[in-house]
Amino acid sequence: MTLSPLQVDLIKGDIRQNGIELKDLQDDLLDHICCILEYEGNDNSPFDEVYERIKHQFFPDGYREIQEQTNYLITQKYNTMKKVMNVIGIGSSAVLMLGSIMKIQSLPAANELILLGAIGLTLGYLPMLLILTLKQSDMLLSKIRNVSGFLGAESFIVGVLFQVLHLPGGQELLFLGIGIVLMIFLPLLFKSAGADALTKLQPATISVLLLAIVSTFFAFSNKKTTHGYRDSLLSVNANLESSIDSKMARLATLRKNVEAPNLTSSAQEVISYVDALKEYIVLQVDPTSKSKKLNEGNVTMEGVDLRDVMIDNKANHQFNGHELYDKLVRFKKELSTIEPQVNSILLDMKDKDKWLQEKFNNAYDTNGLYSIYCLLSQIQLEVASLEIEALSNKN
Amino acid sequence: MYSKELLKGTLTTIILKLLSHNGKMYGYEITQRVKILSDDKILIKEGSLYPALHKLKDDGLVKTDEEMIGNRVRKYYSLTDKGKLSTEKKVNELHQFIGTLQNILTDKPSLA
Repeated sequence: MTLSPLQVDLIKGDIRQNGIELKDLQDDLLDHICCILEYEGNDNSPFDEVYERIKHQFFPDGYREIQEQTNYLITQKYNTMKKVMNVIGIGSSAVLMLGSIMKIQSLPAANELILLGAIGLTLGYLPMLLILTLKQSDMLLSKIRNVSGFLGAESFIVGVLFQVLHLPGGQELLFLGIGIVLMIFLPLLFKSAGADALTKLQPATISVLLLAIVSTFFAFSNKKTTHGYRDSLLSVNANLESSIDSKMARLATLRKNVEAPNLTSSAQEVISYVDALKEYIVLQVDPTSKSKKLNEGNVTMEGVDLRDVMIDNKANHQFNGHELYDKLVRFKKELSTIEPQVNSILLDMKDKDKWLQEKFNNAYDTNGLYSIYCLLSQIQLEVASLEIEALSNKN
Repeated sequence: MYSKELLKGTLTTIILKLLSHNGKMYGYEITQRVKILSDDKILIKEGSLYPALHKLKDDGLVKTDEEMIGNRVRKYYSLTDKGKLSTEKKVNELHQFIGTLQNILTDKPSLA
């Protein structure tokens, strides 16, 4: 049988359509099947019929199988790399997810774990996966597919990371990643591999994919709760501070009329100390803050572990829990000389360590920071109220 | 016709030997040559020939020259210097293997 150029092109198209992506392999198979047709094809039958028959006779498993087999043999020498890649991939995803769960529970070191997992995926697993898949195809579309999958996954994971760490641009990166995957990667994946696209994915790839998706879900849900909690704490604090303002105005007149210098100085010392401490906290989380008050803008706490500062005085900061405690004890002592029966649950100062643990032990993440801030306002309000009460009674 | 399992380990050696004997060959030619030499007893499947050829090329044992036949490309495979050395080794190994197999199958201890 003699083949016309058109018929050769038809076969070429069929070979490409059926998933042979290596250019060399396409040429080989095209020449091979043309040879069979030319030497063994029956001249009398129509071309389509002969081609289909020969295709099934010589390639019973389809062309795609040859591509798979070739990929397998050629990437055999990368087997160690594949194993390392899969271990890194699954390990990083697991660490990422563990970090996300711990983040929700507000446990320490959650952010470090998330960072570690994200680094493993973005700098370890994904680049290796890209290198391996690029070796398996010469087709431009496949290269676009693999690179788009890589970029999509990279920005997706970095987006998750930013989101969890409350860095700006996280949401944009997430949407960019999802967009690239949905608009470019998935259509090309289904086009090249047909309906069985998903079954062609490696089990390891699927696990990594699933874990990454679950982590994102956590990242989102975490963001939501964080915001709700933080918003309510912010409004509580705003109320407390406006109460403090009015109490302080009341105190200013009372102090002029009633003389109790020791009580007034010990109370004022606590209030001023806490004021300075609150300002210090705000400047730690947001050095650019002009109002020096806690607000929506002070999102993350960086570089300072408030719990260690308050309880253990670890960093030997100018402020610490012990000093605050001592000042409060002095205030209570002065208060009891004037008002022996006044009692305060908040200022139940019997055991220093217990009191510090109770008040400041959860102060290691953003939410803890906000609640500590509220607590400090509460202490100020309590001290001011107690002084007012004492002075009024004395009057 | 021999079973696929028997051919599996020898396919690469068969291809290398044919190339060292005939200089340069293209895929279809290799299958036909094996068919004739083996009296139709060994039929190389397209599904194993091309993956094997590409693996050999990737390993640097064979190289290709392209020639246009009408509007399609024909790729002639030939041995590289590294491939020639490897062929010699592999053919010797296969000869020894056949001898060893012979001993086992006839259950006669080798004189050597």
